[in-house]
Amino acid sequence: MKIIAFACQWCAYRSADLAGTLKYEYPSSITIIKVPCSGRVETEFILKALAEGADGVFVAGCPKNECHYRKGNFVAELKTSILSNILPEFGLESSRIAFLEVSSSDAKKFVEFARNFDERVRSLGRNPIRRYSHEKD
Amino acid sequence: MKKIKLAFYSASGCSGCMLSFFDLEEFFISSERFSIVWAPMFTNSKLEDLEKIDKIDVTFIEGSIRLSEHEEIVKILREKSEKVVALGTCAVFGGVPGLSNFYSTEEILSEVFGSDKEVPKPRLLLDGKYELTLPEFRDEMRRVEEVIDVDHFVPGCPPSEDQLLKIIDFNFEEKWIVEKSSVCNVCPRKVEEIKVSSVKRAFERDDGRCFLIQGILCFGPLTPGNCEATCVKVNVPCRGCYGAFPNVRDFGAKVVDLLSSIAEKNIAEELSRKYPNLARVIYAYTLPSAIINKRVRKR
Repeated sequence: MKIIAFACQWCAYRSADLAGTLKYEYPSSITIIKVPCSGRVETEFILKALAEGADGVFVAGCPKNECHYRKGNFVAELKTSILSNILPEFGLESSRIAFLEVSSSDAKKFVEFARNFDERVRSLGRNPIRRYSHEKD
Repeated sequence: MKKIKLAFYSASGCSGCMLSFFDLEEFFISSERFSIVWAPMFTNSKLEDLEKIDKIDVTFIEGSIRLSEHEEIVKILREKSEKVVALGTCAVFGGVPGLSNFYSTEEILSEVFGSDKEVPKPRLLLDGKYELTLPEFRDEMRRVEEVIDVDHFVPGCPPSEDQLLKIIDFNFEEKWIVEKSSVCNVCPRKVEEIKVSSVKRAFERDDGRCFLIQGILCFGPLTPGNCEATCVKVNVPCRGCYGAFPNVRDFGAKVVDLLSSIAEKNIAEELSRKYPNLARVIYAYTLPSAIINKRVRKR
């Protein structure tokens, strides 16, 4: 199981950092990639992560109206929701991608979301792109 | 004067790109400069003829690659020719036939031939004297670039006159023969700033402003503007038939980026209600070149 998280450097990444400092545990399947702003995460990044075999991808940004670049988190949220409507046409489940808004001091929310998301992706099983290409080998 | 040797080949295309050459007077005027050595579409050219030719100067390949026959011929053409030009959106990005990647081979064959019994099978002709074989139908549609090295790309559905005029000079150097500015640059519906707050279909009432402001999907901002905005001038939104710009990897992903950055509120739900098959709309011309380029299915 491999989950990629794109976390914005101002809120989400700091909350994950804080979770580490407070010794909260979250699933080891999650790999966090620090980005300047959640709005910077292009659709291509998410698609590429899925195409290379990631089982789930989530984008984490600041809470509503608290984006450091004014509307980056709004763009990211809309992008993930449009993309999740498109994914079923490619044979992928729409719940493999998600958006999380979390403030830098809310480590608990990040950890809870991470656990839930990991569980959700686990119940879907492995990414079909990887599953079927593996069967072929 | 030594004549330039040309070859034309149409893989799974509609031959429209080739015919657009014959729409040009300049093609006929300059016809003493070249000779067409192999073109199955409009001359009597067989595979044996191709094998006899030892050198071709410029080969134009149109259409995407699906059958094993396409693949073989394209490889032979690559060996023999100095320059290979991918002509048209199908050859460059996969085009409309590339949408077949959303379906499996079985689904396509059963849609076309009904039951499995009617699918054409190899037969013996003339009491076993000749064996008739059919080319293999591959799992996915591919771009020409995925099969052979391509020297020049000329997208367009079909390529516009100014692109073709550049080609029939036969001393073009640039890899991509396409406009560097978008359809919006030549579009008559000028705007200052685009904000989207609702979604409409193209057949709903059009008030003459920019399509995107009205909420109608228009891919003008992402599409090269060789077409002089022909569609918008007759009140049809751009569908991106020129494909993506040379530096863009995935056209559909860019559409999602575009929509999310110009929307004023969350339009995702409305968008999927109005366009139930959104992926088929945004990838209408470029599916084989996308990052996830087909429907994932069990092999």
